[in-house]
Amino acid sequence: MITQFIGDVLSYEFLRNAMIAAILVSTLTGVFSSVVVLRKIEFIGDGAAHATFGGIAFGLLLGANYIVMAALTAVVFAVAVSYFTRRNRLSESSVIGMLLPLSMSLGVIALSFVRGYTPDVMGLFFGNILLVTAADVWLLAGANLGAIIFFSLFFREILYYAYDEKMARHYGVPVAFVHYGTLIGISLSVVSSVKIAGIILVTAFLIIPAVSARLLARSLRSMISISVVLGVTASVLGMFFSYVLNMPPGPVIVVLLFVQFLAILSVKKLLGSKEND
Amino acid sequence: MERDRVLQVEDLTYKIGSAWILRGVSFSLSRGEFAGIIGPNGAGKTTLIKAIVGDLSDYSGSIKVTGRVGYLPQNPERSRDFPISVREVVAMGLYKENGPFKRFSKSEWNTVDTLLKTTGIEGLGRRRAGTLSGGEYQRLMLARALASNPELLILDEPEAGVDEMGKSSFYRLLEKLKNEKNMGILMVSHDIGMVFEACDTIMCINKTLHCHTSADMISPEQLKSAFSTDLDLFIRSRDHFEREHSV
Ligand SMILES: Nc1ncnc2c1ncn2[C@@H]1O[C@H](COP(=O)(O)OP(=O)(O)OP(=O)(O)O)[C@@H](O)[C@H]1O
Ligand SMILES: [Mg+2]
Repeated sequence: MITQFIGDVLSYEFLRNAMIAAILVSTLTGVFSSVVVLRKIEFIGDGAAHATFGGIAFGLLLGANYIVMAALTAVVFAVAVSYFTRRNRLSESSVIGMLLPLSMSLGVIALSFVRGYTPDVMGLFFGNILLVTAADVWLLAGANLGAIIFFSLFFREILYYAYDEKMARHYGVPVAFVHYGTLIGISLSVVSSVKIAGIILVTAFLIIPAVSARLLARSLRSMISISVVLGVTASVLGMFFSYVLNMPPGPVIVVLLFVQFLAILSVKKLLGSKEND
Repeated sequence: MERDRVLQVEDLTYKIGSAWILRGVSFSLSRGEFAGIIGPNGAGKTTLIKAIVGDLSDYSGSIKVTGRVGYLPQNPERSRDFPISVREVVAMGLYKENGPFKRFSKSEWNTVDTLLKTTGIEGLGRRRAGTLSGGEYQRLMLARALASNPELLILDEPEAGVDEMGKSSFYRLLEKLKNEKNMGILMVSHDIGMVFEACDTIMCINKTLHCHTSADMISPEQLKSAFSTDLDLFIRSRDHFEREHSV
């Protein structure tokens, strides 16, 4: 079964693309998810994903490249969230909670103007790996590279920003830059993950691995590594199970991510919480 | 004296809407001086501190700071299971000098370890910061504030959560830093007994500066005018004053 799966992955291009894309999605979201969870902006992924929907709809309406449009709206979304929270002292969750349905609504309105188009709503919402092209894989690879550069150049800054933004600013950490950088990075990773994970499921990629990793990690570095490993494992296994059992991969991966979480939680409970080591 | 001045506040005034938070506050602080700020809740103490450390922008009046500032905020951020080590938190205090695009060098990590020793929490360096006890955490915050080797140390209720024994060793440490490093220290505290014992000068603040005198010169009337809105605190401090000075 496994050899058959490996053989198929090697011989069918769409399957190979899907596999690579799934791995790249989980590394990308795994890296950002730690910051998402530590900064308690879990909602941002949801928001960006739904903003993406608005962007895709407008792309279809205007006949523009929809990935470009989606990326554009996601970035606008991230900047708008930062703007409203920083200038007006509103909480991130409130702002995201307002902008999310707004971009969804604008998207649906835009779609209603697109004549003769019946969108693949299921694919958009839950991901459809059959849609993954080589171009998507390259996009994901680029996004991964960008994330790696961002995190290695600004690791300390990201750590201090996530830990205590106010004091970080006091000590001269460029928190505004890190904040915008992180939000834009998250938005772009959501956009590039939408085909695999779908608008609704991408949130799981941005939250669950880091929540599990936080249970084990002693440092931000290890938290990021653990979430990447967990994400990649769940993706590879998820692709395998979905292939042999003929199920949609996105949801299978999400279920596996949650199973990982439960497993880590129970093992930790069993071993007794060694909090003060 | 003039030359040693690390902080000069002149006619500092701050309003939120139509409410005065601070009004015409003027004072100065020199190196080697340990000043205690007392005043009831809501008196504007933290606001004054924020103005001095640069976290407040729209005030009127002038604030002149000479040299580096170490700052221990009131109720610092504290998340139990945030994956950051005690050493990394202290190193945060070195960030400004170190600058972006770099890593902390070996000698900077040595500085961090020395600071942990100074503040009496050596051996906790590799622990997750969130697992420290309340008092240990305040010491960690002090270590971070000291990291840049400041000429002016500003502390907003540093004794919060520190036990009685811990408190007196905390204040002894501050006095030592004052003497050895010739630091100017400005400390907000509700622990009036300790303030009288440890500080050279005392400032009573309640929107305005009600008194600013050396610790053994202060009168109960001055305390009363500052604390008129907080009788309980006033009575406690008066009792202490009478005990100490047998009025
Ligand atoms: N953003 C704000 N909006 C309205 N009022 C504020 C704001 N920030 C502070 N205040 C008010 O300013 C006053 C001074 O606050 P501050 O925090 O400086 O008091 P404090 O002397 O430090 O008190 P405590 O001893 O409780 O720490 C308080 O009455 C407070 O309610
Ligand atoms: Mg205060």
